Amino acid sequence: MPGRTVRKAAPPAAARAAVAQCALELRRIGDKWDLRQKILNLLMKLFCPET
Amino acid sequence: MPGSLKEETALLLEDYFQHRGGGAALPPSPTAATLRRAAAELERRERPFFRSCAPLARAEPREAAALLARVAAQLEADGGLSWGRLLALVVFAGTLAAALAERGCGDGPRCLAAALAAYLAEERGEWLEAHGGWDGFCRFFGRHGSQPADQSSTISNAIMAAAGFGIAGLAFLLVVR
Repeated sequence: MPGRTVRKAAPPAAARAAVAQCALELRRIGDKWDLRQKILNLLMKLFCPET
Repeated sequence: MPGSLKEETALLLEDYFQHRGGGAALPPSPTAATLRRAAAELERRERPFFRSCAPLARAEPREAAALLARVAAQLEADGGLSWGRLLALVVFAGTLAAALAERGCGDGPRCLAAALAAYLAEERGEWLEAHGGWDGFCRFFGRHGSQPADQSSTISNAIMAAAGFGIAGLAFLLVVR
């Protein structure tokens, strides 16, 4: 039965949702951390150019 | 060379995972020290989220590695990779590795380090090379980067400078009026 094969191959919906939620949150955290570090690096370049 | 990048990445990740699991060994390189420090700071600031991720690690390391691969693919699906996203992914992998180790799967951290190193060096190797490899990571996070004391000092300096400019501007406006 084609329908049965598809259900068996696909990961459970709950697992897919958990992965998507996790990736979304990691993306948010990563982007926030990236921006924060870029600002810090810019401030260091402006106020401590010798380092 | 992809081979050496993969080996370097695997060693760095294994060192971080061991350190995260309570290992007391000194970092084997300045890059490892930077990764430990930046990752610890990120994990400390986002602890509630990473704690909530720990139950995702199943008893089987291969399942955790597959989960990590799916999360990594979705993480960069929108907007690609950045050093911040890479660090968040490494901390997530460290959380899974620590959860596996706690459940008695001693091989888990090494298995996850190998899986993530293969993903980063093989599938995202071009991005890593284009951004200076792990030296680029050190340049991005290494300079005074994640030390809270240094950060607060930098931010204090910036605030003082902005306040100074503001006061000077106000004084100038009062004089010319």
